[in-house]
Amino acid sequence: MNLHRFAGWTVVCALSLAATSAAAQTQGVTKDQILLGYPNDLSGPVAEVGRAVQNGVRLAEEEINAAGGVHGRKIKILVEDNGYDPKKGVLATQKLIQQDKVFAIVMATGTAPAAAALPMVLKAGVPHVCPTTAALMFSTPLERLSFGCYPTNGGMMAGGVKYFMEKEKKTRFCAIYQDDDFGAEVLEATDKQLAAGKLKLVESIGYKRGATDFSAQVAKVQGANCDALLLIATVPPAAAVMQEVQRRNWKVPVLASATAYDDSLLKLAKDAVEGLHAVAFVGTPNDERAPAPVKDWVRRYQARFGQAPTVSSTYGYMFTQVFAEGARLAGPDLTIDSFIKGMESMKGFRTVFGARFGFSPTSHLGVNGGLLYRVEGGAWKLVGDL
Amino acid sequence: MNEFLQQLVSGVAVGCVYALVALGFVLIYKATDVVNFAHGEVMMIGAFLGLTFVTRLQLPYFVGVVMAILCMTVLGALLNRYLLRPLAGQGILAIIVVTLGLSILLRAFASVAWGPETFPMESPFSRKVVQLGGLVLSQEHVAIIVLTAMMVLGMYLFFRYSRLGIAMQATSENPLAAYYVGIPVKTIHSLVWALGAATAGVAGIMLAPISFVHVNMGGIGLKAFPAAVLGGFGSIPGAIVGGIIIGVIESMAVLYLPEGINNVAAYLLLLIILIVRPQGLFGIQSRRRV
Repeated sequence: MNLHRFAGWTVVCALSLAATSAAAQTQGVTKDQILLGYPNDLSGPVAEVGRAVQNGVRLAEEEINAAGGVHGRKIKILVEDNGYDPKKGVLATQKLIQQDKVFAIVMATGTAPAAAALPMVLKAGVPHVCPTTAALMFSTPLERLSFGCYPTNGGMMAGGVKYFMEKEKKTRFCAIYQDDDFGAEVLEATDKQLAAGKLKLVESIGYKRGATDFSAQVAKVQGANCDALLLIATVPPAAAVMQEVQRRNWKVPVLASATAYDDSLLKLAKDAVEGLHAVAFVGTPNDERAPAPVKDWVRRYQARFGQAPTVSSTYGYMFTQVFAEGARLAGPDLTIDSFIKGMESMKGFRTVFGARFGFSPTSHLGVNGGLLYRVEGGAWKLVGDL
Repeated sequence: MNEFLQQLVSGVAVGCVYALVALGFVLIYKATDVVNFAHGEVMMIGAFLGLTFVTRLQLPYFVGVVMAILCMTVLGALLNRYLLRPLAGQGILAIIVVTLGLSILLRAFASVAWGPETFPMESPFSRKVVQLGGLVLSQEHVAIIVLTAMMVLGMYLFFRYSRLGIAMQATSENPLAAYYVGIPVKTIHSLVWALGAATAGVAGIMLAPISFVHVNMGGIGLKAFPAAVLGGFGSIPGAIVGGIIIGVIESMAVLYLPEGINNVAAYLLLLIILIVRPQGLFGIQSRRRV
């Protein structure tokens, strides 16, 4: 190879390197804007929830931009309908990445459509941040580009169990659980938490979805002489179990999974749930007793959309803030790498609703624990963080 | 021992609800040869009507219940008149499809009319207990058992001694012969449907304080149907005994059998009984000479 040719190749290499790095100069990021893609269900079975989440997203987007954006860049979120359908989810995400050239996919709605599109997003080297689903797969196993912001039902329950072990000094735990995937996940997390304190479930008994009567289940755990009852159930069975516990005049502290944290439980079981603890991600924003910042948020939401927010609206709002915080921590030079570093350096980022988010290079599950609530005087009252 | 007895009572109580739904299956099947797959949903409508009269309209409990049951008889008669009677002579498949369709329709109707949420409904027995020595029984459960016993006795007397009851029996034995001796078979069919819907309504209203009122409570048909089969489809005492057996086994299995087996214990028993006695506990095997 003569010197001329060598020099020529060097120039070509240098130029192409410069070109690629310019292209990698981060799709979707300009001097004054960050473009994001949000595949949401606008027409399918969870469209109502999707709308509520999206309103929360819009409110956060507008507020962040009104405050000057992130390092001078405004956030712009493009919504694409995925119809809660895996096929449509893949197409919508593909359009956002290849045609709109977004920086990241955010708040992707629904486990099935988000899961179907995830491999494509990762292959394109685009961050996948805060999907609106509680599935564990978006944070575990660890993927460099994927960040989960939804606490798992198991994770929240484990936090509650830890609280009962440490603060309430409970040692004999029993459980009544729904005999399906959901129940199994929560039960597994519970077992792990108990094992950490060298404990085991003293007694556990499942029920099938659609069960009618829970007196036998309650009789079984009552016979095991436990000092705390874990209730891994959705609202109606939880209400039925609590009525049975009350009828038996069994004074046992009960801790319910996040699936039972809902105002409808209070309506169904009335005084039978007095004193019940439940774990939760965030509290309902429409509570008269909500702290002032939440009330203020509800007012802003109502003024903007002409309707009351739901708990889902808070997710959209928080997740958008989490993204913005990650981008802020990334510094003025926003690239994929700096964004991931920024996200992984987030520690205890607190939202107005009380939930705190944090990531690390070894964990991309943004929230653990959650909140602990207790029924007092017929209403949910915040006990504290988990 | 007390635990066993308490569990026995709650198992019998839940079994009574299964039994009443199974009874409706059997009544309608015997009289009109229709297996009504929508019977669980008919029960659900009964519970919602009870909810409407008692909780929404604030009528006194028993007045509301009677109103709901009257509505149910009308519903049963209308279903027969406008849905099943036009199908006469259409074969079993058409009837199955129509009653399955009806179950979907009723669920959709309830979720539009009352909403998809779960609603509480209290009875005068809710949250009260009966103390018998060391035994603590739920008044709700005791009331269900007493009421079911009264209904079964009433029905026995009705079928045994009243003209209408005997006419119903005649119609179910041989509709053509019944018609020839002057029994108005069409009206009788409508009345049987009315009776079946009414028992389902009672079952729904009794179940409501235990498992709340919601669109999917008709799923109990999946328990009542095996109860009817267990008793020998077509036998009224069989439906009652079958329902109670399934209720008791379910309840006892949770207490005394290992996890996993408890959920299938009732069905295992059903399989065993059907292997030993294919006609069911109280069924009569009809043989044809060829």
